Amino acid sequence: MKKTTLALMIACALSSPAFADEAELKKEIDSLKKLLEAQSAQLQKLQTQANALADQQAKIAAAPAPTPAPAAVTNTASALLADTTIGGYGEITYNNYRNDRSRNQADLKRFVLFFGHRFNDQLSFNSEVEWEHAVTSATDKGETALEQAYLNYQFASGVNVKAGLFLMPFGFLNQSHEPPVFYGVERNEVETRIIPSTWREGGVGVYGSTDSGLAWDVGVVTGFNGAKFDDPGQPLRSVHQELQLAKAHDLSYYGALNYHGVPGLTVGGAVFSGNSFQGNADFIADNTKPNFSGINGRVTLWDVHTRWQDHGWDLQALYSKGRIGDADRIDSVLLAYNIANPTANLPYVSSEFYGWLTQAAYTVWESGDMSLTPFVRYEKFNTQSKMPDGFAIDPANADRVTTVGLSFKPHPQVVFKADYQKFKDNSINDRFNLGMGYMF
Amino acid sequence: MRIIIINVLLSGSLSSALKLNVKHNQWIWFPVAAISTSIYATTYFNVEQAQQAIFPGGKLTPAAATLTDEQIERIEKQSGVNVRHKDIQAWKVAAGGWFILDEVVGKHEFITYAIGLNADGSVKQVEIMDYRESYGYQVRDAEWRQQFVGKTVADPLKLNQDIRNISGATLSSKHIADGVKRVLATYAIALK
Repeated sequence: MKKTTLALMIACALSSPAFADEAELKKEIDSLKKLLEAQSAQLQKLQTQANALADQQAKIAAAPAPTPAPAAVTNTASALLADTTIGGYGEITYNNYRNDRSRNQADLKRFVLFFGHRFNDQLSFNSEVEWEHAVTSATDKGETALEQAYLNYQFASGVNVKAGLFLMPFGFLNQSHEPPVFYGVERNEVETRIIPSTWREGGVGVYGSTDSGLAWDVGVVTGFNGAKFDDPGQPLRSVHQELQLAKAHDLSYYGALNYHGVPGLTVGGAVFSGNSFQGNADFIADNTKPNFSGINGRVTLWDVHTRWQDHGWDLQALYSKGRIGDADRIDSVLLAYNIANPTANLPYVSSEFYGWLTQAAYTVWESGDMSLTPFVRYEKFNTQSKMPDGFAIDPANADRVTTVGLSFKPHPQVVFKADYQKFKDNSINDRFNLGMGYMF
Repeated sequence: MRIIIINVLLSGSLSSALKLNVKHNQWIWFPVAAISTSIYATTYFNVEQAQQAIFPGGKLTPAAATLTDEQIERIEKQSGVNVRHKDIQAWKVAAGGWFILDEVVGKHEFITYAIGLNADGSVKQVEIMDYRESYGYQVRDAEWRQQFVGKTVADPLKLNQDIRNISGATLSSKHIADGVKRVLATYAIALK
């Protein structure tokens, strides 16, 4: 098309009478020739480009249809996954009692799932759902429980507010109880009998840490229900409410401080206090129960703990003590009730209970992710260290326990454990334990 | 399949962290007057703030790199830690040294952090830019991060050996130690 136009132009130009001078005409023809050549080269280039484009189009047509849809789906899914986290831990244990083999037991002790969701940079939800003892039904011993379910808001300053059901910041175990992070198949006695791990309350807490490594946590929460007391061997475990239709006449307060300013070192403590007879709620709801009218029964628990971890060593020590106020009045009511109801045999509360432990572990072997860590722990507890006058102490509720064992970790988040526990005062409890656990 | 998803997640998260830091930058001008800036700084850093914290007044030029499969294999072998980002977010410092962004999973959520390397490849400073979990935030403590200063690719960077643990934040501590080890190997193999 262009070529034809150009040829016509040349023809017109040649026939033009304006070009009288032959030399001038020749010059003009030369320049037109050059123009023609340039045009032709450009056309050639355009043709090559057109061919290449056609080839490309043909290839695209022959190839399978592109799939943009799955990519979009993946993006959405990943965005959702990034905001919602799932984790968990679990443990299976075996106890072999040296002096009473009828008590030997194997148990899928815990299967726990964490669900968390981040709504935005500041606001998140955390939860922990736990199944204990494998099977839960009306005729089985297992239980399903929510151990945590709270909203957390982080201010720009690093200060957090939490509201809901959350763990009390006591000792080592209560907030970090995944099997790979503690030694021994069974949780230690002090953080089971004195600090009622896994101890959680419903309420509001504020926490944060300073630049110097001081972590703090304070709050107002639900407390215990003293009227539920049924186990002198673990005084607070038997009266905790776990936000299960928790009586909320009496609120409690807690505060914890932990110093981490020197790497490897933790020194801390916590205190919790609140009345526990909940305005005599149990009696008001059911007059056949003991009448604790006018009794507050303030429960106060505190602990101090320290831990040093360095070059394979992991050394821990913890002391915890609890007190139940008005224990004499509570026990007088219980005594009168037991006398008036010959079939009743309600146990009596202690006014004080305590326990302490010291533990040393050393990683003797490491290869890649694997490690082998033997440990030894000595603990002493007495859940009836002080009883109101006239009420007897049961020696089964105090003991000195030595535990020797090891943790083999094929991966930092998976553990196989074996240990032997010697109970000095109640050797009927001596046992050999095996366990496995994981966290993710 | 799972690995692929994790990869998508990681890259998605790093970019969202960068985006998020832009947001924080805007934040700074409002509430900080009332709150100590130093506390704020240990909580969140955007890229620019982290660069200035590690290399005050330094001139940094973006020097992003993409790892080859062969480099990834060598980094993983040397550090014993999986490489999750093929794209390295790095800046070269005019006066010598590198500034590198990385992220690791704490317990369940990501920790975004920055590492400054000296001209000789040793760690100058580690800054936690974003810590999202409600537990284990003690990894932000300056004293704990100080342990990484001077570490090189030749150091073990093993928790409870040459890096001390934080009780209650074992996974976050371990994963940051692993991350620093990976960054040092990445520098030695792909950036040096």
